[in-house]
Amino acid sequence: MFPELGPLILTAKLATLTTIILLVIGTPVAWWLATTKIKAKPVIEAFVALPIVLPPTVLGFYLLIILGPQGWLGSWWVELTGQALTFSFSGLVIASVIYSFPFVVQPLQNAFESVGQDMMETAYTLGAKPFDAFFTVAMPLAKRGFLTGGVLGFAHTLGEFGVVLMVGGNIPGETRVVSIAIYDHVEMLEYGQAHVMAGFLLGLAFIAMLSMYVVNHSLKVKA
Amino acid sequence: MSASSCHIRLQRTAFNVDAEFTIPEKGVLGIFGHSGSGKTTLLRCLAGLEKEAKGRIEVNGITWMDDKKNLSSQQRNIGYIFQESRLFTHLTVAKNLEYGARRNSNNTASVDRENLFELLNIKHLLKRRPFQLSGGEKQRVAIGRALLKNPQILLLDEPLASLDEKRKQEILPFFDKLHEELSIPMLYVSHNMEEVSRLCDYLLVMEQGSVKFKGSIHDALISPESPLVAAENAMALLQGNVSKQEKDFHLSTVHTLNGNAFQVQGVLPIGRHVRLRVQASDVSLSKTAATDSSILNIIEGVVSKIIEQQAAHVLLQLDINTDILLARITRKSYHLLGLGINQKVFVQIKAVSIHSL
Repeated sequence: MFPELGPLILTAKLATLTTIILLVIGTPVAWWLATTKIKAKPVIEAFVALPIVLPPTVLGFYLLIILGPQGWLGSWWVELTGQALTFSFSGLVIASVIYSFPFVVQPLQNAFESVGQDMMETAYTLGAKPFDAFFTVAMPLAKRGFLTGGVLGFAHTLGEFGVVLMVGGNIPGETRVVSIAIYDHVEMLEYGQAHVMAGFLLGLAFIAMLSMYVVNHSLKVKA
Repeated sequence: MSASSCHIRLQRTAFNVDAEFTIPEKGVLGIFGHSGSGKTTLLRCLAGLEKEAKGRIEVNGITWMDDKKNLSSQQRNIGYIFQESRLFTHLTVAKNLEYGARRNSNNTASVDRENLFELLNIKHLLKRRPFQLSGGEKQRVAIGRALLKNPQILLLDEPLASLDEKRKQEILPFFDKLHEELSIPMLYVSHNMEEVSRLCDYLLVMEQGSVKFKGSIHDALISPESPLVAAENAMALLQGNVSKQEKDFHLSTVHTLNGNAFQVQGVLPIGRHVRLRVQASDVSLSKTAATDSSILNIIEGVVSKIIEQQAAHVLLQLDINTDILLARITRKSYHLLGLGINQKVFVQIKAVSIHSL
């Protein structure tokens, strides 16, 4: 039996793109959270952590409203590109970025906090300017956080179901990701197809976690 | 080279730092005080690590801070040694050493790398990673890293405090060598009298954020105005060169610059410059020279000052042919001997109680 390749490719594309975007956006946010002294920090942290505890349908519902053609982000997108964000791959990427945000930001924030201001000050006294010190000291020292955040963001996006169902639907090649395809196959009692895809996702998730723990452990020994 | 002077102010919740002092062109200025006296904060202000600091800092004629400007740490040409080595764990020793050097390559004078690596004995460590080094090795690499950027001034914040006694004794000789060979001033923050009396040429004594005494290390130890004189372990410091060895008895003779000879424990290399530390409580006095005493050092001097009188004891300053010592004796002996200012006395110090540094 041949596995249905479309959803696999789409899922891989979505998870990769989401992870890259999250690492780019998440790094400055995590650094800011790790170093800021403002009083409202717990409020912002709680807001960032929301997607961990919110039911995906709740998150998906709000995203549907915001991303819809009448929503503030959706209407702006329609004006810009002539296309709707809901039930499109682009909409799915935006939804995934929000949905997986804490899974990338929290490990990064923890890592930056453990690097500490001390190491940055040391770099300053050696003549490094703040950006230089960030890229040559803070980021390399926080590499375990980047690894953990990247893997968790990727794996979490792989498993996305409720949010996709709400804002993406089930359009082959556009929004039909693996988890949706599995649900579909089960609905139609095509257990064979469901097995192949579920097995694939299981294997991928395990490999991601395993590589994260193995690499993390070897980095820890040399810290 | 022009003078370096500072007046630093910083408000803290516990106390306010307000310190005015000059930095010598060369040699070690100790910043001494108990924990919480503001000595580390003062050093951080000099390094530009305290953004709230106010005042004026001028080093070698260059203004680092005044009412109008405040240079950042990276613009101040400093070398900073922290209590913990703070090596970058993701880099090899060689890359750690390069970090500062690469970012300050426009400094005119260059550092003699070979000589520095040899001085610090770190050449064999270059390929290692920080986690493969001992505490003492890490701190030596950190010193090398700070010096390779060719700073105008070296700031040391209790660099030995995180090391155990054995490692401390292992690394102190490296500081002695730096003291001899560096042509830049060093600021050495410490609360340890032994380190300070061994390494420093000048001393700032800090209490609650302000300078209680500033002067040479000798004056800081023996002046009635210095808070250190009131300490339980009041002591004086002498400097001289080793002139004679008695290997059979494991003794050496040290001639001070003022011509006095002191016998001390240990076989020291002839000609070596040493500091002698003499505790006030190890000095006793007599009016005539004892000829049948076990005490090897009996030298004539005069009582030059009566620094303090307490219920049980008296602290005296003694002038021995311009070498100054302190003696703490009981008030009873003081009265029985009928001592007073300008009184001629024989100063007795056991060779075993003189510490050569």
